[in-house]
Amino acid sequence: MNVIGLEEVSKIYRNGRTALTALDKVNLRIEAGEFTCIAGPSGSGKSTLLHLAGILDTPTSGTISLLDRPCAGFSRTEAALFRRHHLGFVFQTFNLVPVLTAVENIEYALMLHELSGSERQKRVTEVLEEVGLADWRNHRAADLSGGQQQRVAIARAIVGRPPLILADEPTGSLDSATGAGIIDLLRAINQRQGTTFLFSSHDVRVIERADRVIRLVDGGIAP
Amino acid sequence: MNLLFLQLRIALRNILRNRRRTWLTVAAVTFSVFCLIVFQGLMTGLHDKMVASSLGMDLGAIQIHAAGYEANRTALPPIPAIGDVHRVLSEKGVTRIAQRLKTPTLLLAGPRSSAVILSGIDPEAEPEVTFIAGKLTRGSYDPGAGRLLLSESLAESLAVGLDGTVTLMIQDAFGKPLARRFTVGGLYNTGLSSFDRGHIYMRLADVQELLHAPGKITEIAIQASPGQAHSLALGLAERLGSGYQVRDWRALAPDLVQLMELNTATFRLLILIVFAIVAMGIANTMTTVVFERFREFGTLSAIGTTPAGIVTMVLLEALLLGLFAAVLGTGAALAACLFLAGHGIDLGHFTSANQYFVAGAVLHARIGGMEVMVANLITLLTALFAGMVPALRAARLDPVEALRHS
Repeated sequence: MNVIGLEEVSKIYRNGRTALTALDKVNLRIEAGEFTCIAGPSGSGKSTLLHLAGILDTPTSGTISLLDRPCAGFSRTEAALFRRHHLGFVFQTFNLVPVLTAVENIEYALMLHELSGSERQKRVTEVLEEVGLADWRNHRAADLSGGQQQRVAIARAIVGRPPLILADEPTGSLDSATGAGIIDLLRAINQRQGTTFLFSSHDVRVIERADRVIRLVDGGIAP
Repeated sequence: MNLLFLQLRIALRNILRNRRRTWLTVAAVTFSVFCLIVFQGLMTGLHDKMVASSLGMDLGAIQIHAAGYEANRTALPPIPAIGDVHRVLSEKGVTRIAQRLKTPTLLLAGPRSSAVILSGIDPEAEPEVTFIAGKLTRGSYDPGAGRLLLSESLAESLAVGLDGTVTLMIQDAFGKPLARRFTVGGLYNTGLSSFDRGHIYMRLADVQELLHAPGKITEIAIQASPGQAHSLALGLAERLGSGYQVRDWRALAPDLVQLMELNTATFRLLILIVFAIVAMGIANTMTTVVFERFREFGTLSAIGTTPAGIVTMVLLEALLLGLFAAVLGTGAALAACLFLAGHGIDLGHFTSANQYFVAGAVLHARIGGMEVMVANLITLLTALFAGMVPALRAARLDPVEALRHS
């Protein structure tokens, strides 16, 4: 199954008379279970590609399909519901809800799914153990270290058991040792659950861990 | 724990995140709720006072006359079957009743004269309906046979005093003019000269004898709760039938009702202005809140929160601000109303004598449960309304732009 399919996808940002081509006729297919890294320097279009793949943004031209389903014409609500049920996101700056504890941040994502309270509790406990934060469950996001916050973000992304997780520079705000631990964690989830990962990085040590590397240069995939 | 409960928790923690801003907003709204309830209590108290004064001077809460009385007052149309009326009143549990025989007359004292309304009253029963007995300054409220009660201001304008002599020129029940001398047996002073100069009183039996109308009654005034007068009047009219005219105080004093309606309209306009300011305050706070949390809303959108879900989150925060203010404002306002209900505000120093403060110029606040509920409902709806624009803005955020926001 094609988890992600991009055909001739371009994204052009316009600002008055100025036009900036962030992606230029990109074709890409990601199969189920892949652990793929999008590599490239800053401004190469990595984040734009992830945003388009996560239907957070729409392409200027071309077509995008996720899980073999065309995504054109989604309303905001349809896009949100699709993301809720099929996608997980991990961000460079963690983006946890600061007023919630670790467990509440994870549970919030799960509450968007219609699960019983006991099932929610079971899954939250499972993912907290999986990311190694069982003892930190009741700490507010602001009280956790960067690595811990990213683990909570990963737990939030996987708790709904989505088939695809998109991670934009997931180690970008972490020191190298902590970053390596995060990539290990993502890799373990990929191998254990078969979850497809598409993540971006410009860190060579992270790129080396991927099964497949897609190199972006000036908005296009390098051969 | 369901999603709404968690969203409520997020809202609560968020409004406690910037306590200074929250308390400033809450304080402004609290003050508005306080003003709304206290002003409502004072306005209700003012209306109570206006109604009590108007009804207690002469009107009563309900009046019964013969059908067509207004068009032909000088002919003294009597209430047809007075016994039937009393039986119906008794069935309805009405006990505070005053029977009257009223007629226009000319009062003369030497070269001076004044047109007045002469009321033949039962001095025992009349104080159940009116407070004129309590305004007696000299002599007796029941002046005795051949004597009459008039006001200090009328006596002064006629240049007579207690035990002085005046002449009544009057038309009897058969239309025959007659004149008779009476002694002033009592003086009263309501403080409202327009009323005082136009009303004199005698014993009912004396007036019936004077007018050659034995047993005739032209008016029955009933004192009852103003709030229940309308339904009671309808019930009496239905039981008494077409030969009678039964009117409650709203029909008897339309000018009073209009003034109260004008008061209420002015109050509502004031409240509209106050709450427009409140709405702007909340909207400003919520706009700042949304602006500060662009990235958070972008994240929530990314993980699957629908635009409606984001609107709910922002509105919950606005609603909580309104709720805190409503609770604090209501508490403070009820305490103030309780104090003002007991101690009152003496408006006697601020207003000239008028018909609405004859019963007393001390204004006592009165607030009911419904008014408090409405005040709170207005506050919460204002908070929701004020939160709507920032909420829609948050819901319409481009997730990519929001995630880039720092």
